[in-house]
Amino acid sequence: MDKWLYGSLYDSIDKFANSLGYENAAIALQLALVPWDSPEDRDAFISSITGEAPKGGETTNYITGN
Amino acid sequence: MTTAPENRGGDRPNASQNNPASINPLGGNGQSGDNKQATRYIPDMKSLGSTGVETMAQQGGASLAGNPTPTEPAPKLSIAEMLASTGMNTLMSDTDNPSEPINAGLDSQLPANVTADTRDLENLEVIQKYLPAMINASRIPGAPDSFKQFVNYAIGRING
Repeated sequence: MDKWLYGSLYDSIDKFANSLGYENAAIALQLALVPWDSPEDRDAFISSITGEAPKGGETTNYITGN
Repeated sequence: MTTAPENRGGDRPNASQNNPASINPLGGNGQSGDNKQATRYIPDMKSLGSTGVETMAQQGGASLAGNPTPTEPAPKLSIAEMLASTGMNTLMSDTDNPSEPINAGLDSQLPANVTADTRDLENLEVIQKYLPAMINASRIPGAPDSFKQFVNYAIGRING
């Protein structure tokens, strides 16, 4: 993958991990593996279980390099 | 001998009904602008229990259905906002039944020593499995910082 793709597995990991919280990393990763019909379906699911808009995809507050 | 064409009767192109300026954009009774339909005698209303006078008076008060007052469209809510407005519980909501034991609903009893939150162990197991791929993904151009932060967190967990 030569660029970050909206709706990709890693985009889903980003959205689930940041929406469900790092303390739920295991379930976040497993939910990211679900073959979602579309990123919108995935985001609607996140909203339905968290009651909030999906988090993640942000490019601010980055503290350290990897 | 020639006669001038008559300027009356029929659907002439220059007749008033064909002049757009004569049409009231607000609807209603032509150019009057009062947005009311013209009152007219309606036969046989008596058989329906209404006198002619009543029928005329009724028509005088009735506006045409056209040109409704625009109403503010209902705001579009996101799913999250809709859920919040219904007061429905979500995964992140506090439990409604805090006294319910963790193993409620299981067919068999959990071992006595399994009472704590086991998410940490599960997290480590899954993070270990996917961390190498996630580290590679965090180097993809355009990877959001929120993802890199999560990868940093995962690295921190593995390193202890």
